[in-house]
Amino acid sequence: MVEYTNELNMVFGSLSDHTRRDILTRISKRSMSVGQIAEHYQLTFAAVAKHLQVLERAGLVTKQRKGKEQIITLAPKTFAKAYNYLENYKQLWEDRLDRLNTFLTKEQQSLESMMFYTYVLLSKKDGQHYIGHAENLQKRLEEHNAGKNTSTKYRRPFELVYYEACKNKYAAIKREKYFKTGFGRRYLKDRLINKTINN
Amino acid sequence: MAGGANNMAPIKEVAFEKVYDAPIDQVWKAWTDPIMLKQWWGPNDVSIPECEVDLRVGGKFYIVMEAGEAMGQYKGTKWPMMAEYTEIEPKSKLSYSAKAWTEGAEEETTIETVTDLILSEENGKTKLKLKSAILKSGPNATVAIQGMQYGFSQQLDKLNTFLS
Repeated sequence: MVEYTNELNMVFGSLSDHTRRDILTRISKRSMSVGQIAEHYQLTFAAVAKHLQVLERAGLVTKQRKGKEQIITLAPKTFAKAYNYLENYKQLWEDRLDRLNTFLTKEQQSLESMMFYTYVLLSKKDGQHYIGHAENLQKRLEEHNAGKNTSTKYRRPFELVYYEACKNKYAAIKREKYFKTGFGRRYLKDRLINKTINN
Repeated sequence: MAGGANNMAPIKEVAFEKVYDAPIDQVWKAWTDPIMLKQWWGPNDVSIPECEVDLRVGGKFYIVMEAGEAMGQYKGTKWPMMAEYTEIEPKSKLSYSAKAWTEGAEEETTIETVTDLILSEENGKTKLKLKSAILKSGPNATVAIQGMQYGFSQQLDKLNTFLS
């Protein structure tokens, strides 16, 4: 614990200076060379280098030689401070609930970007259509043509002649059922007629 | 769980109310599906190598956090939590009492907590109420947290204002 306190003293000591705080804010956005940092201050290069030395000793930044330049990067590990459960229990939960929010938003977006498809295949063997639905259309077509679907295995090869994107699986199934009715077949025939003529 | 833990006056209690723009089913799943829990339980820069959920009263909720590369000196440190569900109402209420500790220092780091989660639906959004209390704490109960990835700049700004 003593070591930890010393480390903290160093951190706070080095942060007590306005220029050093300013430097940190600057490099928290991106790593910079000593020269680039020095440009922003009306200080001698040596003075800036000295500030950086203090920051480095406190473990707030790391220095890395890259050719002729010294690149200064913010050192994340010093900011990985130990949280005392008692004192910071609230913060711990606050962070966790924020992450839950980020997670839910991402999940929601991926759900919404997921599309389902109702598709029509033309068998080049018997000239008849096959109607189905799938989440991954490309993959499903490959499966049909690879003979992985037993009901279409002997009608290979297939060509994709028509598809519709639906917002969810339920809508895709409903559309598939419609296509298999008399009205649906007539509708498809109208949509596919141009294709047939072109062929 | 430790006998009589629930009769103790809490040392510390925290409460939150949040609204999430997600259906209640999703939020419930995020709290009860180990695959989903692993993705947000955190803290930042911590991975969740283990998570088990036995979703029934008396069932276990076990989750282990492990410090990642960015946590420097803490890298590899594990903080397990072993909990037992005390109340479950699907998509509405979840309560558990838990013990959490730092691996290898169980004696001085163990804390005992009770947590209640209440979900309700509000115009397609989900309102979350969370109450958590520390009932007992070892003398050296800490967990490392990475402050940089999110909000480091804000922290620094705050510090700036504070120190100026």
